[in-house]
Amino acid sequence: MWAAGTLAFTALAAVPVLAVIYLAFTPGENIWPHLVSTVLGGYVTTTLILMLGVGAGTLIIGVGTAWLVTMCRFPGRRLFEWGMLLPMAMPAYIIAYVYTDILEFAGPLQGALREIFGWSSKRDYWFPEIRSLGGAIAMMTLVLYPYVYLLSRAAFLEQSVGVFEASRSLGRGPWRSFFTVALPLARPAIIIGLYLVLMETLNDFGTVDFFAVNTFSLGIFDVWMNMNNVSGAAQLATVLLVFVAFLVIGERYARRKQRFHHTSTKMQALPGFQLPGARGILATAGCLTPILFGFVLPTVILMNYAWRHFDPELTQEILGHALNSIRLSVLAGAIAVVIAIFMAYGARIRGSRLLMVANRIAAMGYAIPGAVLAVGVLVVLGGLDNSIDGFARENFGLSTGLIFSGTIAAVTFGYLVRFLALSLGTVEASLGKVTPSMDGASRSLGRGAFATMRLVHLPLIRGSVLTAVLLVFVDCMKELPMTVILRPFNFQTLATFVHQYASDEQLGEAALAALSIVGVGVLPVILLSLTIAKSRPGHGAGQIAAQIAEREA
Amino acid sequence: MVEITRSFEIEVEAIDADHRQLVEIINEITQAIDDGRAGECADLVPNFVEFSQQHFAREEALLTKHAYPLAEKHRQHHVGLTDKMKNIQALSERAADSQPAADALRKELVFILMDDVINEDLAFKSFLMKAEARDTSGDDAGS
Amino acid sequence: MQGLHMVGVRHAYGKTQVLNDISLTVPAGELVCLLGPSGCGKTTLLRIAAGMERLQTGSVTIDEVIVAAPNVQLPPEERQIGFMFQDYALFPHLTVFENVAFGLFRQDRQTARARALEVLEQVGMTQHAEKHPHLLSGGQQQRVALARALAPKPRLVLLDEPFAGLDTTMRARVRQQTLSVLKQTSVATLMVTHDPREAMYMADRIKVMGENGQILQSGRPQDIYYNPAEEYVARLFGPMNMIEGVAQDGSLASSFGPLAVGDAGNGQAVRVLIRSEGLILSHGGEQPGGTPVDVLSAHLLGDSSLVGFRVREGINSGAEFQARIPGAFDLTGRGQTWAHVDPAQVFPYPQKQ
Ligand SMILES: Nc1ncnc2c1ncn2[C@@H]1O[C@H](COP(=O)(O)OP(=O)(O)O)[C@@H](O)[C@H]1O
Ligand SMILES: [Fe+2]
Ligand SMILES: [Fe+2]
Ligand SMILES: [Mg+2]
Repeated sequence: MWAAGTLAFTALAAVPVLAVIYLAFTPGENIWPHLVSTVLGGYVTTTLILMLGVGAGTLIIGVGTAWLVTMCRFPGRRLFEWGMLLPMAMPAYIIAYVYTDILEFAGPLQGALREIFGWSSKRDYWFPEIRSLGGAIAMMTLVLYPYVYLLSRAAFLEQSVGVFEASRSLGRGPWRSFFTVALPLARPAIIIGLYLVLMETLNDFGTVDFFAVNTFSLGIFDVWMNMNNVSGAAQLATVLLVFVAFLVIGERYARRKQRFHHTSTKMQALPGFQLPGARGILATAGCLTPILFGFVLPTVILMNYAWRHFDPELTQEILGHALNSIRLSVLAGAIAVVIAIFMAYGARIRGSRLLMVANRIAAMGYAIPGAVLAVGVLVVLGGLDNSIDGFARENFGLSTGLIFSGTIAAVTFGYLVRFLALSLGTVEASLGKVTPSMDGASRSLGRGAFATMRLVHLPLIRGSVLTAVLLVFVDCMKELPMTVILRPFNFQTLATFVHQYASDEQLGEAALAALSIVGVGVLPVILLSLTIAKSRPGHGAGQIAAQIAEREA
Repeated sequence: MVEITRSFEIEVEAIDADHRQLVEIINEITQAIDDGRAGECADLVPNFVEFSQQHFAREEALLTKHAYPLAEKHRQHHVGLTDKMKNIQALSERAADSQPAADALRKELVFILMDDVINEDLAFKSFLMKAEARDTSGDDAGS
Repeated sequence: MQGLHMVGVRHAYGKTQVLNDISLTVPAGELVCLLGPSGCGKTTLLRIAAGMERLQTGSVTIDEVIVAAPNVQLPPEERQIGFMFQDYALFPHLTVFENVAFGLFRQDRQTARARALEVLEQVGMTQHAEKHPHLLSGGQQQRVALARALAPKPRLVLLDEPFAGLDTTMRARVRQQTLSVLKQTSVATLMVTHDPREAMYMADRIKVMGENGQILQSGRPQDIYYNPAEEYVARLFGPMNMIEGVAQDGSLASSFGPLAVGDAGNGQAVRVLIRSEGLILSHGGEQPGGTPVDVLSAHLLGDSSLVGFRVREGINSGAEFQARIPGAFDLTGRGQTWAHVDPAQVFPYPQKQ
């Protein structure tokens, strides 16, 4: 039963991706040559530049602040330990809307500048164009660097301080020691962080759509929605999958190496280099800047807008959308956790390689960009609807129409495929901490597999089960590309509502909804912060890293 | 009461019959101890030792006849039981006037029979079963 | 026959063969101890008996019911066994009482409660019934684990290194209590340990396992100690003195006189091991069968002392040995020190050519 169930779930999770690939290779109307000769080159270059920019940006901010926070002592360090995570709560598309509103030609900043300097038109001065590739890089860097920060911080904490000190005692200065010892040791963890960042970059739709930056995600939408060409979208999606495959392989490679990079895990107080005077202030400013621009400023602006544009009627409407979001996300979170418990526990008690591999495959959805999954889900459910309809017509002479396409079920299915990894990783990690002798004890005392799960495992992993529900819930609340494509007609969630209004340059009206999404996004940040607060060198931080890494495995 | 149940059967009648005979002797001895007739042990235990030796000889002959590859090792195992046999004989002589000796004897007899004698034989069970079956069918074909 | 019967059990993890043809019998009421070094597969064997590891080759019978064979695999919950884990595996979210009552769900509440309290009483843990396991000391956790395993009146009890987690002072007492509880219960018990003294104390029969996953010797503790069948078994109980040479007329010439070498033939190389308690020291004039020695060191261990000495004369002149003698060694004793050998502690092993 465990095997059959697990394989069925895995098949369900894999079907959308397989459908995309299948469709790409059996196009109805082949526009591939057309794509290659026109837009493909642009998509590839833009996507690569975006990845490069965001990668470099998050590396510098993430690794730099992680090093400062773990190894140095300066004003505000304790606060920054978890404060650096805050921008995680902010979806890239939301700060993109906010900064555009502030920085565009008609926005308050340029207006003020014109006032002050007496410029009257665009020609009179130069101002960076926010709605550009560079702008997109900046937006994503600001909200994605926490992944790199989190993983590097854990890696620095796990390094034996002794190694670093040995290097210094051998005559290398702190900078050279950092680059020759600490950084290479932390490299595998940093690469995993970077992988998460790049996955999110490929997944982004809201920002690039708003900025009209032609990445693959946007291209897939364009070909799908505007050119109305499914095969073309599938072909683009498949090329995007190649990017993903490279990332996954790179990450696997880093992870394999990581095993050999663990130095001693002795508990040891970190040295804490005191940064004196000006250098301390500089460190504080360095850590404060990304938090300020990645979280505080946009939040304050959104609050201001929400206050100024408050409208009871609109608020009523937003409440309705919020309820939609919550229902969908709770549903997806609950189902994802039940499936995760089933699959993780099945693999545990069967101990079979097949099930473990199946679980890894089922968790791959997290690496697949939302746009690709959306196409896959649509194709699969559309095909299913057509065949049911055809069957009914032939046998009963009536048309069933579309049963699954454009329903809540379709959206939920998409969410589950993409976010199952979150719940599976969390449940697996916490089940892994229950020693196998617990199973043995319960079984030998006469309880069967289900009773053992109910009486022993579930009470022991209760906390993690809630965490798993929360993680899936939050990501579903923020999710945009799949929701936009898969939702029923006229059905709005907070994310689609914000997307729609902000795209129409009515950010004021969307501010309250955007704030709600950010508010929900803060929940996992708090959770992580609590874990960090409890963590000690070489101890809890490793678990966070493991958990984050597990989410992706 | 000791008993040859399925899991202890070699499924070669000649050997199982011997083993059952050994079990019977042991049950007689344990019965005597339980009934407070420990004095009879001194007479009964030599029976057990003697019958064991005869059984070992028969068993070794059978193994040699079928060219069991580990026959010599099994013979060594039988020889290795000599000290234990001496020990139970010594215990049997003390059993009449020492309850601990009687208890130790009872315990040791069961272990020697079930764990040392029969369990070790189970190693050649499948080999011997096949060999015997081949012989029987060979005989049938010949007659 | 009532009890546990395992026949021809082999087990491999991947390509690594762990258990190599293990057979054993544990009659009801007896305690058999499997003694072997860490990693030789003891836990694996227990897990196979319990049904937590799938049997690969062989068979397992409990009270005449075949619970595992190549085509039979009863899950652990249907085997009626009590398993005590090396880490005790007490359920942290349940109280001591709830832990002990965990396996009593088939009885009505009243009966279950009475039984749980009865077993807790038996192990002397009644006053801790409402506590959670993390509040208990190691020894108390051990007793709860034992009570939990015994509560459903299992047909077979399996103990995995039951005293390994306890400090030495506690160990002796817990060991004695455990043994007395098990004997009262008169259940078949299979225990595994890597500690020879623990095995000696607890077992009616010891089965010594080697690193290759085979049984090297079976017998009473006396048999194992005084008749070690192999050098490996002899060395289990601590460092040994060693004399090597060539057998002549059934003995090996040594400074301590001729040492019996069993059935080693003339001219065959033999190695003779002598326990440290097999070397006996005395003071004064010439002792028959003794050889004069120079004492090099003496360490008092409590109830006995380890004395290092060097032989003065004969074939082994200059060789160093170690004796364990009762009490303290009197370094101020006058006159020559003599050493002679207790033949019961001499173990000859003919060497293969
Ligand atoms: N689940 C497993 N998978 C692979 N190897 C294992 C597993 N369990 C144990 N082993 C290996 O099998 C050997 C025997 O293990 P174990 O039965 O625990 O030995 P013991 O209890 O005697 O210390 C060890 O080398 C161990 O590493
Ligand atoms: Fe026999
Ligand atoms: Fe035999
Ligand atoms: Mg073990």
